[in-house]
Amino acid sequence: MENDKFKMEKVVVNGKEEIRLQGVIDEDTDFASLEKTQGPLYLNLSGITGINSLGIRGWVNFWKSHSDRPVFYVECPPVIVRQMSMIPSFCGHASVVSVYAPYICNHCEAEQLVLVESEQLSATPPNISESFACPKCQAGEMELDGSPRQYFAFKK
Amino acid sequence: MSLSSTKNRSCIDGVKTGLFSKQEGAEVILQGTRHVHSSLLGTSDPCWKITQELILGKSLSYPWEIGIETKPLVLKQSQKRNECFEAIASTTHFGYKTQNRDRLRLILEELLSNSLYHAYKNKKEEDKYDRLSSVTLAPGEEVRVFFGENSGGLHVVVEDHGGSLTFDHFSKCFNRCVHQTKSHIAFDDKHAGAGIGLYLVFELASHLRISVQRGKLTRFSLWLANSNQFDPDSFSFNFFEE
Repeated sequence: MENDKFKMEKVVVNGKEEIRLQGVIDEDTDFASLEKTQGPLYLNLSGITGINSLGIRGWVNFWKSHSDRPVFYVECPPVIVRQMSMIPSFCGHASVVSVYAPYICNHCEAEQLVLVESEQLSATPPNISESFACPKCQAGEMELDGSPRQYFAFKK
Repeated sequence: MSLSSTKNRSCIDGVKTGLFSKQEGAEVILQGTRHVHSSLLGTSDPCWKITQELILGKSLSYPWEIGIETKPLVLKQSQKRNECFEAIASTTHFGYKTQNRDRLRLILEELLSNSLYHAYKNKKEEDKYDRLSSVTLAPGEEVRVFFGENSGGLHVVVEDHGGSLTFDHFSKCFNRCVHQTKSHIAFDDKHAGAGIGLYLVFELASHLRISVQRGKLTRFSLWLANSNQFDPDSFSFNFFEE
């Protein structure tokens, strides 16, 4: 069920149905409307802006009670990737299709999210760009903001 | 990082130093250890020496507990938690970076909620306020937040005057979370966040010092390293109870 902090929307991307989640997952989030959908579930998480401990509990418990259903996490933002790495059961039985990696310029501190697809994630360590020229200032290098080992710890 | 493969470790009752992962550190805490230091320096770590002095009752600060020049932010209403976060994020260089902001937001959400909802007890020693409702603290009750920063990161202190947290309770919460995060068992719905909040704070902070004066004060003092300087193997956890 939606509330003023959290929304779900069904969209079709390249002929594939996805559920887009947007907003904050907390104690008021109700995942019941996900039960109305059938078959494999592609959850696009790119619009999630925050999650707290009660939201994590609700999320983990919901998926533990629906472990027979194939679930795919698509375009996971850093706030979700961090939970996947800290709380192993956050991923549950889901397969991670793609995640966003946060990069920051070592010169002007401009930030950019770069999508890391499943083929890149399947390599150990993940096959991501170590750095690239900053598109904003052109003077610095964009580098992963944080420790790659820690950020991609959910792959263990 | 294997517990058995690292040299330069020390383990006396309730105290452990060496080089651990956060997960290993959590397991050590579950075994009853109140002081855990992970550092390449092992027993030569200056923070470790300070912990030994603190255990002996001396009054010292860790190097990461840098001077705080700001007045405390005083919180009495649960709806004002986000204002508290914004007050820190918008006035520090640390808060300029999204990854730092996200980490700070989550930590404050958990610590402020813990203090607002679990610090103050009724006559039956039960939580006075319901976690699922908005709350305004009674006169004499408050949550105070201090912060300060340098180029390496941010120092945050969250304290309440409940003084109700015990190491026993902390480790029970931790136990529920550490073991259930790895298992297929659902989290316990009866226990607020089931310990997840405290576990997240432990995971996200580089250094965490909890000081409790029973019935008087619970104080969380944390060092949040900048995201580009965050070393997951270098951390400390200390729980002091009077």
